[in-house]
Amino acid sequence: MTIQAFDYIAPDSLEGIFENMQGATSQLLVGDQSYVSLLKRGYSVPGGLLISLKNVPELAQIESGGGYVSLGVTTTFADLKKHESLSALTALQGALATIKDPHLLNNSTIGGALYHCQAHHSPIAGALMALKAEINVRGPRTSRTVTIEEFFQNGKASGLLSGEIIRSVRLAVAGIPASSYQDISVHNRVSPLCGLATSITRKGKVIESVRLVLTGCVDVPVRLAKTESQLVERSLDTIQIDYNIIDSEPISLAGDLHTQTSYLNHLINVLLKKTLVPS
Amino acid sequence: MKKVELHINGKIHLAETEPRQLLVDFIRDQAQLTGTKEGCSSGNCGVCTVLINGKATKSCQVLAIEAEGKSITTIEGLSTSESLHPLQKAFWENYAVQNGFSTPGTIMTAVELLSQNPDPTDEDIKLWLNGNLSRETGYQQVVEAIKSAASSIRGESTTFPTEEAGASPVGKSIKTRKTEELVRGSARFIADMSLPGMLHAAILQSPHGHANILGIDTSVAEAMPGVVRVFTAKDTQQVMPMPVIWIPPFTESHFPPHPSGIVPGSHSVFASDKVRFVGDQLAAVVAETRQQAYDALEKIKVRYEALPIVLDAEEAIADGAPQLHDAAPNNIMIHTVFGDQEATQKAIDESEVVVEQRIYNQRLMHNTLEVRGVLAQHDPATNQHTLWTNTQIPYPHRLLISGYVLGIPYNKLRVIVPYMGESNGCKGNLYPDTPLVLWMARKLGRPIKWVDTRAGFARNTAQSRDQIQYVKIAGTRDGKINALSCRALSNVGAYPVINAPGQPLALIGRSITGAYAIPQASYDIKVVYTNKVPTAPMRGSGRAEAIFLIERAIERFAREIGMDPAEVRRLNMVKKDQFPYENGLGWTYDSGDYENTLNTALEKAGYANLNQMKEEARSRNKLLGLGIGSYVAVAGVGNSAKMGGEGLMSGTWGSAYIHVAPSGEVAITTGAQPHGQSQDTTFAQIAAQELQIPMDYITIQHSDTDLPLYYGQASYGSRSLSVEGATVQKACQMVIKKAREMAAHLFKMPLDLVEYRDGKLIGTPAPDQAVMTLQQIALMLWFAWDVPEGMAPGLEATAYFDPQNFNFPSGTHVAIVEVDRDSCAVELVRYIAVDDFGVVINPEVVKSQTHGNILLGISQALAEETRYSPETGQVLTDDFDTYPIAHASWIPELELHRTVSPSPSNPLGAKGAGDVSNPPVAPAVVNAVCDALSEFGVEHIDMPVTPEKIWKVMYANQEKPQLTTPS
Repeated sequence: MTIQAFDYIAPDSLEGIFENMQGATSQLLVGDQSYVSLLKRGYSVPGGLLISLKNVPELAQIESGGGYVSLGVTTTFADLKKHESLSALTALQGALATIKDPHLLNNSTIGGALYHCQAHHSPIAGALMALKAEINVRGPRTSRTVTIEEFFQNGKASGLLSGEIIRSVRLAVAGIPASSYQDISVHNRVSPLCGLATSITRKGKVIESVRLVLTGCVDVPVRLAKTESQLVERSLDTIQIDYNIIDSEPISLAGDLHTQTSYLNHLINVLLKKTLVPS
Repeated sequence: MKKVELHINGKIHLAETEPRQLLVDFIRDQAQLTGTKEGCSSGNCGVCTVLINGKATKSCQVLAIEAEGKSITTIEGLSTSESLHPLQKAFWENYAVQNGFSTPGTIMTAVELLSQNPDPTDEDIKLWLNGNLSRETGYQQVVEAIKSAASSIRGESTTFPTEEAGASPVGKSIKTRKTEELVRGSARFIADMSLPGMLHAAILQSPHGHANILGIDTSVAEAMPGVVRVFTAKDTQQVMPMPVIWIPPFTESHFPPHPSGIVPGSHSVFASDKVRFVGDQLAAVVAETRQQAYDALEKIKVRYEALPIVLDAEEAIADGAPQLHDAAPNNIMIHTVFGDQEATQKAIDESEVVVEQRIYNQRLMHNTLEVRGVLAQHDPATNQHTLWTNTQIPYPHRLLISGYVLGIPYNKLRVIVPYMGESNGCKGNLYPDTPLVLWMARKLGRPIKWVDTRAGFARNTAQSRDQIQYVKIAGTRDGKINALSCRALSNVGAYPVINAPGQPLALIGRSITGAYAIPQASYDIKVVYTNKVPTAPMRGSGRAEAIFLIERAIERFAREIGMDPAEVRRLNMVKKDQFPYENGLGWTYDSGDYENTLNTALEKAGYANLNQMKEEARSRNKLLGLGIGSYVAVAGVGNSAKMGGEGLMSGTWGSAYIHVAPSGEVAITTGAQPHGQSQDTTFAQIAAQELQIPMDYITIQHSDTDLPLYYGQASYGSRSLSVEGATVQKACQMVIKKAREMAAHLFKMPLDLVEYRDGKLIGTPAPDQAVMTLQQIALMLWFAWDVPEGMAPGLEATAYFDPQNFNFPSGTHVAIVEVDRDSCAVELVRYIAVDDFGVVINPEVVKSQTHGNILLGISQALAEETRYSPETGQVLTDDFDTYPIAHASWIPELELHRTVSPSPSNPLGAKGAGDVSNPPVAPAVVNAVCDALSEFGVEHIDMPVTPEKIWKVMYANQEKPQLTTPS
């Protein structure tokens, strides 16, 4: 399919971006290569204007301070991977480690993970959710924070109002719970079939709080809220993975040409076991 | 339009472009740096990789305008005119290049790796190459090349496997020719070519697998900017359908008609009243730019009346199934039997043990990284037609297009093959797009180029395999096999391609007994039309289906009787002293020691320790399995008479023209058509050995029907070396004979006193006085002042070689896999191959071909499958997201070994190697998985053997699957 024609502008400031945004009739290019894939699949630019964020330096910055780190919306995965302040975020590092193709590391961005959330983004988006990421949303005259769960509500990326853009994502890097990311890849799928990002606070072996975020086999990352609630105040020694746990979650698994949801269901159990049951 | 200024390789390139232009197109079209290729268009294959600010980036996934202000490096920017980058040098010297289409992108990716990690491990490299695919060479030599380059960059000495030709170049791993331009990115492939005044074409395909065409409205498209003309079937009524040139004489066949009355027909350049598959062509737009052509294509409106579709071969022959062709009742193209069906059934009935298995050898796509393309030109002043295209068969293109499609003089059509990416068999056909582009160029009086898209390729280019087999194997409880029968249905899609019946008939039917002496065997085959894309041979063609069948059957038989599968194979193999061996189905095996390759492979694999390996794996929660794939594969097509007997309406002899210039330089034109097999090197090795002169004196020519050769039968089915290479040898012998006769005349000596040694003619009675070099003799023959009576001037010869028999490479492969008990994911942990390709000319070249064969087999076994919409017949797997092919990280180090049993079928003693080691791979892998799962009672899993299928069979009897823990 041929890419439909559009106009293009790359302002050098946030103000310039807002000036050129025309409600819902323009689209943002957040430095992520997956946008071109979407265009090739027939996704057209509303209003025919594509606004690139590439010339706004502040949007590509990683800023640390006060126990937090702020990741600009055009920060690449490659930059995330090498930034020292993020090294303690094992879920994020684990998610980044699953992306082998250097092109994807170099040309995928935080914004891509949030706006487009394609298959290769899902580990990162899931890790951000497990790590309780907060999204700084900017409008022409407003600034607000939404949680990543709010952003990904109702099974899609839908946390923005008309005229708003994502400026950055904030993560705590001090006093944070242990986190991890694991996934399962199979030969007949390009991206991981199913991933699980977790963060767990424990007292001894007893779980005080837990976030379980499912990725890959769902359209956008989703917390396994009911499973989480069943795990709180349980000792790791007593946890057994029950096939019914996942049946109780109100999630819709995304099977495809090659994969049926019943197998995905099984894999989720495998990931829960790997994550929660000491070997 | 916007002005875009890009910094590429240190130079500024400024152009007015649309913002939607991709970086890959800017680099190739505006900057005219065509070393950056376009392959999948979805960011999976990596052939378009460049560096942006030093970072590996797939330029098909980036808008050109987004790269403004950044520093871009392409493959052309790596080297200087004097020297290659260490990676380019290492790729060349480590035989990591075959056709070279994917080479620039892979090198660019590796540049960034070495900038970050100066000493990467094999694992580091394989993971880093996750976004760079190889569809022909495999990955092992690429990994070796990157390690070698890293070593060189670190300043360490490197040792390369290349050897000097010396006096005996045959058998040496000599550095391949025509490779420097591939690693530099300067080699021109079809998509890289252009001509002054060139137009661009885009071709409309059908969204329906089966439909009546009610009307086509091209009016909006015709008014689009840049559009020169829109063509449909109403314009091409004088253009004939594609011909079919394989008509089995021993049975009835049902093809669409062809107006020539000489051969049957196939599809037309445009469908007129009905589409029968989604690749049927409906219209073509010709425009000033490619973008304009594709923009206009989307504006063509076609009204369809959808018809019921049939995609499955068994459903297609059932009563009431949709009928595709009037000439083919019940959708059956051919129904025939190989072998004595009655005697086979009797032997089965009388056997102690009978094992039955239904096998579906799934539909594959060749999915070459380079799609197909055509550039055509017509000169009205001379009526000369010139066609550049990436085909395996330029001479057949010339013959068939001129005589059977366009009706133009044979002598006014020239076909040229530029540098060409891999084929895997799909570029060995004549497709309607090719004569169409030539016809349109003639009609419009301007050159026209058409280069397919990945999605278009998925619909118009032949696919392969797709055979249902009902197999019975029968024998005694002590392991002796008495009989083998197979009832098969081959789904060849909507139309017969030019050689459609060849694969499902002889190539499978005469090969099903594999490496075994089975007293009775039969193969009952129905070749069936459906609304799928037509099929054609694919690497391993026919032999792959046959070897999979027998190797799965013998494995099942062994398990049924509780015997070691290796021992059952050993017991039934054709023995070393049985050659020539008639297999009872039409093949005469030439030579080999099948048991030796089996024993060697098992020894290398540590077969004696299999139980310990399984136990160790079990402690890691893995199920280990070992699978064997033994094979014999017919190769070396012709002999012509035998091929004629199979139905091929063509000779299959080899041809070569040799010309020794007055300068002493030798030019040899071969009938082979290289597309990655390195004939430029191996044929020069043969000639240098025969002529006893340096290889540098010898040029190998091909790829142009205007070269001085009567006809070239091309390269396919592992025939080049043993047929065309043997012809090169014969041509050399012919010029030596003439040179000796000339020397005898000049020396005034009897012929038997003149010998040819070290490139010289020597009169043995006076070796110091009566001596002339081959160059001097060539010069004397050029002068022709004093030649023997009846001798023509010039030192040249044309040779033909039509082998009396095929040749039969053989071997055994062993795969060892581990299945994760929880996720059911399969990991191939070891792979051992012991092959016998007869006499090998260049071992490293053969090794890289073997890597490619194994890679494809693994990919078929574990991942690949073409999927269709059951509602519309649309191809759903039309990119590399949906059609996964093997990545570097899937493949363990391949342990390759060879034995040598010279073939008596040709004077070189060579056997085929290009595709023959593919057939044992898939059965070895599937046998290994079934072995790993034997405790679950698993008897068979159809390919691709995915974790999900394994999960289903492992847990089929459990209401709720329980996760295991390591024991």
